[in-house]
Order: sequence, then structure tokens, then C-alpha cells
Amino acid sequence: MNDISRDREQFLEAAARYPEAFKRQLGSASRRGFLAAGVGLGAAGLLGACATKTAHSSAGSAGSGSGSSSAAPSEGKEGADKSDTEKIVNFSNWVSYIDVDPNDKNKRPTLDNFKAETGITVDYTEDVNSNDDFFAKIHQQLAAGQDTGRDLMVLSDWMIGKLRQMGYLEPLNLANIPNFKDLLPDTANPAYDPNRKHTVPWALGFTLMGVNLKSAGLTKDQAQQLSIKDMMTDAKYKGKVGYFAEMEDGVGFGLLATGADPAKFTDDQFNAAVAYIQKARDNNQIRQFTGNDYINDLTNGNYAMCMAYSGDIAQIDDPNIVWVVPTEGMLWFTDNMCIPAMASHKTNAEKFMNYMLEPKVGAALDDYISYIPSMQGADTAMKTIDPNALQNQLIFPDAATKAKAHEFQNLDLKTLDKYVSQFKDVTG
Amino acid sequence: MSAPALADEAAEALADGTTVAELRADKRVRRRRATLPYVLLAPGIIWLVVFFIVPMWSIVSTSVETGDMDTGFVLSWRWANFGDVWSQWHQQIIRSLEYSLMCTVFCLILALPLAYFIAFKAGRWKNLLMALVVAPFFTSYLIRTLAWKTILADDGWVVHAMNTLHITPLLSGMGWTYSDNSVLQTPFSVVCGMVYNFLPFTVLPIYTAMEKIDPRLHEAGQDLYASAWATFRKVTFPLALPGIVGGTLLTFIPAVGDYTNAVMLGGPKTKVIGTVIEQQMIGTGGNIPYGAALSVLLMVGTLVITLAYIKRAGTEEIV
Repeated sequence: MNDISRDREQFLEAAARYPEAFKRQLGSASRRGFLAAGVGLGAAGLLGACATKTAHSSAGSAGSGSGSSSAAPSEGKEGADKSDTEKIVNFSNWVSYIDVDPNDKNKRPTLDNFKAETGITVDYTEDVNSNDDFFAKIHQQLAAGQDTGRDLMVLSDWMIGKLRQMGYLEPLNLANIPNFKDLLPDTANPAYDPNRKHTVPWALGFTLMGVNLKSAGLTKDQAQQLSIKDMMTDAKYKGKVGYFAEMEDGVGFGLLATGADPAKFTDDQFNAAVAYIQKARDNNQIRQFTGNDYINDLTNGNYAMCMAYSGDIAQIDDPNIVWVVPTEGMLWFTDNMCIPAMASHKTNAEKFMNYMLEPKVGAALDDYISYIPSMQGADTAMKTIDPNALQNQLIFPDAATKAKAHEFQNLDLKTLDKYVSQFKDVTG
Repeated sequence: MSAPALADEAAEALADGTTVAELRADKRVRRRRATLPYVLLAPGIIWLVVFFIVPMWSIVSTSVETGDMDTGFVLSWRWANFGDVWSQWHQQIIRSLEYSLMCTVFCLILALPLAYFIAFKAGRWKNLLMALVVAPFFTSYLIRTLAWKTILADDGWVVHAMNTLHITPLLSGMGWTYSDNSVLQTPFSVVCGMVYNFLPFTVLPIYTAMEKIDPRLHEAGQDLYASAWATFRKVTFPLALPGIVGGTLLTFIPAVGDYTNAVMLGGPKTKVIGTVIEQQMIGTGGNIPYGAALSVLLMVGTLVITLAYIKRAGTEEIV
């Protein structure tokens, strides 16, 4: 026991003094932990268990003081940057969130042009289905101070707030992102990441309703009159409603339906909104709680209507599927590019962020995915790319459309975790 | 070697006329013979330690740890974890047992006539039919389960046919589905998927047992004026029993832990314990000790049910 604690002391000291050697030390430490646990040749599950055990000592040893115990959030640790030697950036994004060549579905012009310009290959993976699930996927590695294998990821506003407060995001080096100054003023300083020290927006959009007209038995005009209340209580749609499992989206709609303001609500209003959703679930009104995987069920008629992200619906080439702003209003969201701690190609990721902030690149992307650009000059660039898009309310919303959209209240980590687990009891 | 021992050895050697050297060689052989079984057993023992004892210890010790993902988990022997998980998730545990029991019963109902037909009536088609039973395994489990989403889609012909035949209102009346014109995302669709996925595991052992039955026993039954049903009950069934017990166990045990069907074909009210464990271990739950405690509970529960079943079914050959 004494040996172990002395080892640990030495390890802590060394790690604090020689941060460069930290990674190698970590390697040997996890091997030691491995043997100490008496594992030898353990099975895969065991490897996971050991990783969390060593996580304990290594997270502490870095002297970062990350986690709930520290008062001020710390910054994500930087990994050794191999950007100079490896011209690659590993990018995790959501599905249907990038432009695809209409003639070849495997080609993504935005990424190909970036490679032509900089020589950096983007290894693009669509493995984000919901913020919660994705966080769960990388949490263990982040907690253990390990490289997640990702250099860049797109996550929503509230999850950025969570990761930032936990000290899992690397601060950006603005020298690599000269276009940063062109951000639209109203997107440059969000509450979840003050002054955008860690993030660059990927896209902005609305959480609204997607309707399958045939399955709902409605005309396009009738569908425009739909409310969240209709979706949640009308027996006509019983068992044919898809609902988002993510707290911010799900509870946001519940708050709107119960007459509260998602941007400013009390504990009681939160509880009422959750109870409202619980009731719809118990009555079998809600067929499924989903992440980003709702589109097939909407298009094949399993859902009459569902919660949806604006651009997803606009990308579906089917007159039977329409997007609807519920009469109670809809939600704003911002998805942001960020760099996880210990990423090994940080500079490349920052170069990519800079590239995405060029108006013509951003406009071309948003023209395809139908989300809202976040940089100045996108409208001018759009004139040459697709003048029709300037009239599209999902890409360049006017004041009237913006007035229907609500922000979601910025929450501290503790309240956020409490609300998330409370809502999880409903979604299962 | 001490002097008295040497004397003993010499005396021993003199007694039956062998030399001391011969005696020593003989002892070496005997010693080698004594260690040989252990050498031969070593691969098996190492295998058992690495793939059974160590994982077992790992899961049991993890189940009594405390902590959280960010500060790490420490072994604190907190047995109350088991009480916690039971009070929080007993519903899902019971639901898993219900679903897997239903799945096993339906599989048995389908597998018995199928295996009987293939074993006794299929003739030269026997091998082809067996190949067809196994054929689904050539496609990934996930893809096959996803395919059921298409088959049972609200706008699909299966659900339309069920509507026309008034089966869907019947199912929703029984509480197996939730609306009169759809079946997906309900307990019914989950059990359907499970029955489909586990059926080969029930059919194969029953078929193997039935195939070994001498058809002349059936003829003997007829000669003794037994009806077809009596022959089945008194001859075929008892002889096929080891296969039936094996098949139902091969279905029930993996079905208890299965959550693919519940996730893909189920809805918010069909959450099974496998999903909870997955969420706690690697998902949004993030409490690894709770996940481990649930796994241990599930393992012990399944073991108890299995032992009771085998004891009752009375086939010692299985255990």
C-alpha cells in the first residue's frame, strides 16, 4: 500500500514537472494498474474497467483539477500536435449535415475543396446521433486524459457548455483562424462559451415539427395550423408521434406547450413540462423517443408528425413531408465545431474551422443542408451560388420567423445534470 | 540427501534386487508422470482462469465499487448497490424475463412441429430444409432485426393484412400493441423479433434429438394400438426431451440479456434490462458499478431459473 502511494506521489510530481513526458508516463501507469488489478490477459470488458481505474489517478496527476470539485472550469489539456507531419483531421459530425455531390454520394465537395486548398484530408465520420449518446461515447477517454481519436466534433450549444465546464475542450488558437473576426455579432459571444474561446459555429437552425401529410391525413395548409398540443394530445395521431429524447429539445417543446418560456423558466414550470410529456408517453401518444434517427420513420409513414431539425426536413425531396412551425413557437439551436482535449491534430482542425468561416464555403454548405450561416458576407456569397436560397426562411430567416424561435435557458452544470436525468426517466 | 534416507533407499533397492541407480530413474519417471496431468490440463485451466474466473471477479468486484466517471471508481465493497439497482430497475428485469419467457414458449410451439416435420416427414428435402433454418445466420443479426422494421411498417402489407383480418384491434385489446393500426414499437413487435432471431437455436437441438429416434419405435407404437397423439406423447416427446430442454435453454438464456430487438423494434415502454446495463456501462447512465451489479443480478437470476428448470425437466445429461 505504501509502495503504491509513494509511486503515485512520484508520478504526480513527475507529471506536473514534465508535462511532455506525461503521455509516456500515463502509458506505463496504465500498464502497472493493469497488472496490479491481477488481470494479466483479461477480456475486453476488463480493459474498460481498468481504464476507468487509472483514470482516477491520471486525472488527478495532471493537476488540472477538472471535474465538479473545482470552482472555475479548467481548459482541456493539449495533446502532442502532429499536424505538421500528419495532414489529416478526424471529424465527427451528425448525419445529413454536410453537402454531398449529387452525382456521387461518396464525394463531399466541401471536404474535397479543403483538401485541394490545404492538402489536409478530412476523415469524416457521421457518428453523432445525439449529444448525450456521443458524450457517453467519449466520456471515459476524456476523463482518463486520453486522446479520443477525434480532432474536431460538432455538438449543440448546451453540450458545449457542459464539456467546457468540465474542462474537456481545448481553447482555440485564433492565429490559425483569421476569419474568426467575421462571425456575425449575435453569434460571437454565446452564454455557453463566452467569446467563443473554444468553438466556431457549424450551423444554426430551428427545432420544429416535421409532418407526413399522407400519414397525418392533412393538407399542406392544414398542417401549418398544427400546434405542439395537437401532436401531444390529439387521438388521431396516437402512436404516430416521434419525440426528441434530448432534454433541451424535448423539454423545450414541453415548456412551449404548457405556456412557459424556454429562455426563462422556473423549476415548477420545468416539472410541469416534464409531466406533460410523461402524460403523452403514458397515453401511448408518443411512439418513440429518438435522436437524429427519426427521418426514416417520418418518410415511411410510421410517424404522422415528429419533432425535427429544420434542415433535415428541407433536405428531404418529397412534397409529402413538410416542416411546420408549431403555433406555440419553435426552438433555436446552434451546433458548434470544437476540439476535444488531447486531440492530436489541433492545428489542422483550426485550419478547417477557418476554412468553414469563409463566406462562400459557409454559404455553399448551408445552401445544401438548409441551415443558417453564422458569418458575415454569406448572403453576398449566396447571390452567386443560389439566389433562391436568400428567400428560404430556413437559411436566411426574416424578423417574423426569428420572432417565433426561442432560445433555451443557459444552465449551470449541476442543474443541467439534474434536468437531464429527470427527463431521462420519461424517455427511458 | 540425509544419511537415514539414503539408507532407506538402499534397503528398498536390496529388498527387490534393483540397483539404487535404477530406483532413482524409476522415481524420476514417476515424478514426471505425476506432473504430466497438470501440464496437459494447463491450457484448459489457463483458459478457464482468463475467460471465466478473471472476468467473473472483475464484474463482481466492479459491482461493489463506488464513485463516478470523472473522479474514478474505487472498490468500497458497497453491497447496497444491489439494493439500489433492484429498486430502480426491477421493472425492467421482470420485463426482460417476461419477454424471454414468451419468446421461449413461442419458439417451442413453432420449433416442435418444424423439427418433427424435418426429422420424420421431409425425406430427401431434409438437408435443404435444415440449411434453410440456418440460412438467416449468413446475414448480420442487426440487419435482420432492422429488416423487421420494414416488414412491420405501418404502411407495409403485413400490417394492412392484419388490419383487414382484424388482428391488430385484437392485439391492442390484449395490450400487446398500443393502437389499432400499427404494431411496431410495442411488446408484440419486440417478442416477434426475438422469436424470429432465436428460432434456429430452438429448432437445431430438437431436430438433432428427434433425428436419432428410430422410426421403428413409431411403428411399434402403432402395432400396440396407440393413437398418433399417444405415440408422440409416450415415445417421441420423451426421447426428444433432452433436445427440447437444450433448445429452450439455448433460447431463454441469451434472450434474457438481448436488447437489440427491444431497442430497434420497441418503444419507450419496452425498455429491457440489457438496455439499462448498456446505458450504465458505456452509455448515458455512466454508473459502471450499477451496470455490473445488474449484470450479476441477471446472471444469478438466470442461473437459478435454469437450474430449477433442469431439475424439473429431469434431464441430468444437460448438467
